Amino acid sequence: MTELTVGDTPKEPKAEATASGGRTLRRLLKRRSFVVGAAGLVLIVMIAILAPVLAGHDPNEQDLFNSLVPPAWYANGVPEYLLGTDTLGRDVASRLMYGARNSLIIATCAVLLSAVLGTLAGLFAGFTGGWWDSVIMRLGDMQLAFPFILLAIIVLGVITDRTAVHLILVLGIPGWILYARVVRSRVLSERDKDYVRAAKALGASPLRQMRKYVLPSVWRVVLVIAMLDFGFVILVEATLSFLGFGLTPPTPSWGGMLADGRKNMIIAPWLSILPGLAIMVTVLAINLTADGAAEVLDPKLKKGMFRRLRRAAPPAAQTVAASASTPRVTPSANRDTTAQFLEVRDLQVEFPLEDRTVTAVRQVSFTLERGKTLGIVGESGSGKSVTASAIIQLIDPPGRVTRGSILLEGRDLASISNKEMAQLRGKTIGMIFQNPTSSLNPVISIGAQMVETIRQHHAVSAVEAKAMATRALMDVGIGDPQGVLTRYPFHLSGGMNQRVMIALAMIAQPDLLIADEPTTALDVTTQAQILEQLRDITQERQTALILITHDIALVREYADSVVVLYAGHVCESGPVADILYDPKHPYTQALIESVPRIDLEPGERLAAIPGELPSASDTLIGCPFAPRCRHAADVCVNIEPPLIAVGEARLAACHLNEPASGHPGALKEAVRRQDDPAAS
Amino acid sequence: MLVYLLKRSLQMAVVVFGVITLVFFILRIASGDPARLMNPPGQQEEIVQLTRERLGTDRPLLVQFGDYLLGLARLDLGTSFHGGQPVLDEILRTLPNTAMLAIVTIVFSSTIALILGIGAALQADKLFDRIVLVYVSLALATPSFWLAIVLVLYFSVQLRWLPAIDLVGPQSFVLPVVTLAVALTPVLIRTVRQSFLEALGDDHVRAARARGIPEHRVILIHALKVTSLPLITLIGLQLGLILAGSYVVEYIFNWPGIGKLTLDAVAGRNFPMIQGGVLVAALAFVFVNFLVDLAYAALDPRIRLSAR
Amino acid sequence: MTQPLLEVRSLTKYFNVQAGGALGFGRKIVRAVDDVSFTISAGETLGLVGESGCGKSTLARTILFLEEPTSGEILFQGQPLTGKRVLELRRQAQIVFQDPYSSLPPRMKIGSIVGDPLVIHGLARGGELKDRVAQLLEDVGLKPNTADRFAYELSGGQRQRVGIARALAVQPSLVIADESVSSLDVSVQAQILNLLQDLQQRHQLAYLFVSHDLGVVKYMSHRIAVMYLGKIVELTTTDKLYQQPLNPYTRALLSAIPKMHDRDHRRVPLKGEPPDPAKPPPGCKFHPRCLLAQELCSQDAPELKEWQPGHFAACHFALDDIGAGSAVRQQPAKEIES
Repeated sequence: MTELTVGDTPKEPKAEATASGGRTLRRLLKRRSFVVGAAGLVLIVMIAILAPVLAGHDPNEQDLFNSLVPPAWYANGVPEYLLGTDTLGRDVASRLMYGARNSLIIATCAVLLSAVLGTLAGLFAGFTGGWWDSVIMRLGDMQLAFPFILLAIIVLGVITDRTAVHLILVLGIPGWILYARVVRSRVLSERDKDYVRAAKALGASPLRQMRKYVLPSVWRVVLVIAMLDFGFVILVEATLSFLGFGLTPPTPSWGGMLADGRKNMIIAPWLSILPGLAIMVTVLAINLTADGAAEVLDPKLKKGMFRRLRRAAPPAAQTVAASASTPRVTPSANRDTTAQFLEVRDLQVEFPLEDRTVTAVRQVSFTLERGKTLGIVGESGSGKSVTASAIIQLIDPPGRVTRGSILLEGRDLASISNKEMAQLRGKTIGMIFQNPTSSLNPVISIGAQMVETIRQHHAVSAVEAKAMATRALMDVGIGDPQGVLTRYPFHLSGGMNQRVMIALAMIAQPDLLIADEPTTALDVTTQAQILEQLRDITQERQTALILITHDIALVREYADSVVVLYAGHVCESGPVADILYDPKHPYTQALIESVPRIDLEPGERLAAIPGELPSASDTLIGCPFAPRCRHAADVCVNIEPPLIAVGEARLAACHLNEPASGHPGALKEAVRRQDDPAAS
Repeated sequence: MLVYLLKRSLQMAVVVFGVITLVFFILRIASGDPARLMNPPGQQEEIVQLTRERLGTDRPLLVQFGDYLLGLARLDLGTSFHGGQPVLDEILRTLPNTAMLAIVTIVFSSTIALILGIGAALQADKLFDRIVLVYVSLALATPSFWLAIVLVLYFSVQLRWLPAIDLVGPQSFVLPVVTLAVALTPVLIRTVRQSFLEALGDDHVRAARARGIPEHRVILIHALKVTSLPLITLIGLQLGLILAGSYVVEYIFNWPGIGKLTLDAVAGRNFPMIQGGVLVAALAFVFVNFLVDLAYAALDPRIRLSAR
Repeated sequence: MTQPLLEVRSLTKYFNVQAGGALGFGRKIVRAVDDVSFTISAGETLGLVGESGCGKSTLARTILFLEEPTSGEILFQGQPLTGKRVLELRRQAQIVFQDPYSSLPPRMKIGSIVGDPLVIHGLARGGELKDRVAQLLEDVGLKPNTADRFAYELSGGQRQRVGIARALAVQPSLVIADESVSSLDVSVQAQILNLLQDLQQRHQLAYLFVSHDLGVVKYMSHRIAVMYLGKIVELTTTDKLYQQPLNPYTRALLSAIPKMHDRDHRRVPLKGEPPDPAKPPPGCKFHPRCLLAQELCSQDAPELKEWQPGHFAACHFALDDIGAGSAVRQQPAKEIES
């Protein structure tokens, strides 16, 4: 399994919430929606609080001589009654302000009540589990099985003198289930996390586990839900008031004002429109604030972590600036058969993110002959997966090829149209992925998926396609093909699913197969089976294979040539045996030495590479490996070593290989000198 | 399967029973004496007592409850306090109207939500998506009763295109359905959009593209199939919202449906009618959710075929 | 002979698994750990190796009472452990988890994370606590100012070091490393392995080193136990295991690993799929996939027996050459070149 922060596909700077309040505030203020919403909300709250001061009139003061006066900007409006008056001559503006007060107070108290009840219930249910949990959840289900507004109407309807307290209780108590559910599920998911288990292993009591380790995650969720609930409660309260079940008149309430206004809808439309606008603006402000805060406080709520990686985009605009910068090889129909089967030249792939651009792959070049196997070896952040995706033009958006060319039989894949590329996929280039079970559609049967692919590439009937599918499954070593065809991916093991994937990828007899860490997620014994299968089928059909992996021993066994990548750069490339026995790049050497191989001598210490892998966002000058290289010199830090020939079909990017610093054997010399300082 | 059905039926029965019991007792305990309220204030006690006897509210609470339950078993929901018509008849008269409104609204909202939600997902972060999201924000903040009034003001009063109240023909559906749709669609659109976006980013979608499956199939079959399951639960969600919204909408548009019936009953302390309305609401709610769960279990192969 | 630090006797852990989806029909039992016995002496590393589903992680957790054992005994320094003595156990034995990204609480400062065990056991407070934490961080190769940072600011390797520091805070005598390097990049992995070895020397720690990676296990362990479907199928010193594996599963496992310097080594073929833990095969759980399997194997589950001094294996045919296996298998038996 590879590291997650410096993944091959660069991700957002961790969108995790932080514990530091100041930092949270700064991030909140960066969100436009939050700022606008919060500003509006603050304004409304200020108006509500200062209502006694701001209002020109007592909201219940009647002025029957001035009833139904339109707002000041109408012809017969008066400035004294800025927003007009209602049927009893009461000032609309004042009533709106006091209405705001009432609505906000009721909503705040109701939300508090729901939140407290619900959080306690959710914590209890989540932590205790068992019988109590069932009871609480059943209770909640029962309550949800019924429209709560009807219950509210009935209860309020039978109370003759409704006060704010009544409303708060009716609106607040049933709301508990909303919080309880979310809190409970959050507690359950946190309890399973390793760090809570770790706390238990340390000896923390369940109470301490909850308080110190689980709660910090929980209250943030509650806050976000409360904000969303707040807007909802205001709407419900207004609705109840409108229907006549809110605060008993003459207490001003927005809903009540609307109800009054409706009676005189035609002659005094402002009486209906203004209160509604007030409600709408308030709820909008609340929702905007809540949305903005949700993103910062609890990104998990918005399922789908990488907001900015717009995965919806089909692989359309994969290559943008490519057209601008590189002199291209003539694209389209003319296939140059004297050229290498696959040649990647100076490939560069960039990911423009929210606040920076990450270069995942830079100046990567390598070749592959027909029918041979190339291994691409690297750790996290090496760019190996991105390179593979670039060849088949399926880079995760927003990544794009910004420089270089990918020549398949002379044809530059980086500059052909998406339509032409789509025709190549499956037919000429196939790909299998790291996680076999999730690479298959979970709700479509294996058989249906295979038939679909077969009929995409061959003009056959459904029956013939099924027969072909059966044969294809047998070709990859599946003993019961008919049975497997009727099943779904979740029925099968990882190994079986990977075999299915291989079958699917090979069905149209592609010339090139890309295998992106095909066995990383599988057990060792299954890994051996799958790789053998892969080797058999590609050799049989003379398919070129690109094998992406982090396991250098794997390349030794299954590849003819290898490219070693580090931080998006090529370190060296060439025939496998040569590279592994006579590495020309310190990283390759260090990598070989740091793997605890089975065939290590006992007592031999692993030569660990000091330091950390560079993060995807670090801008590197000079050799990317220099900070960790034991042979690093000044030139390494300042000048990026070019990829030069260091032997038969071998390339390496290290200053130690340059004629100026010595001869192609300079690295071996340096190592020898290092190991044995006594020798000259 | 049979065990599952039995279990669920029992759960539903318990819920419905719980609800009507709750309502029955709340009404009688919290409310004032309906007999007194139906008589002019200051009426003589004997006459009020007569009213009580007529209504049956002079008997002990538990007796009344028992009577009610027995009646339910006979499908007799009691008689209205005002006018004495059988509650069941009133319900049967008004139910179809609400049902029609609900069905038209669900169809309309679902279609719009699917189109806008999927479209927004496909055009994520581009202009169309932004417009849709703005609509969602505004719609979420709009009080439905206010929207209804504004619509009536404009389309009925000003333009005279559509009727303001009552059910007089197909054109009567327009404004109520639009009002309800504006309340329903934001949540639906958001959910559809989110689910679809996630589905499009799934590994298997990428793998399908790698096999050469054309984009339109990827979207319409692979992504949609995976999304469609959670979308079914949205139907249950919609019904809940419609039920809630119907009270307001029927009130404003004077629509002769269950919602209006219930509201009028509440205002008039008409206990049997209130109970009838509640019963219908609870049954509808519970039943539709049950159907949704069934559909989910039937359609998701992971649930359907779990027993290996 | 000195008493072993940890002794596990016939430890068993079963799980009830619900089958049948929405209907809730049918409960199956998964024997995650099935009658396992072994010992660990002070200062030694016992490697625990196996593939997914073999129960090694469950075993690790059960030993620490993070899961309740279904039956069996766990003795620490000769004393049997019960629920009551668990807190004492937590001072003596600690665990380092696999995933550096989920094993550290996201909202606590590193200093608090490492210091919490000291607070829980009342071992230090205030200024002394800070000093101890700084010392622990240095011990694992981190700068003392790391204490003020949060987990999300650190790389995987750094986080794992924090996890180790946390485990060492109470000065345990046994540390369980549950796939502690499996989620790390290769270049970082070696650093952590070396660190663990250094710490073992310095603090006389015993390790239970759980991993699926045979190379790593070989590097770290003095003795190794191989697990398959909840049972230990082979137990011996590292050298003996790799030079002369007795159990056919071990042999298959060893031959499945890609070798750097041995391109043409022959594989011991392993047919079939790993079995469903809820429906294990009768008799020897490995027999459907085993080259040497005979009728006896499907009826009689073999016990872990000492076939050679200090070398235990659970197989009826442990000493048989794979080449002498039955001719029932379709693929010809292959010799292993060691």
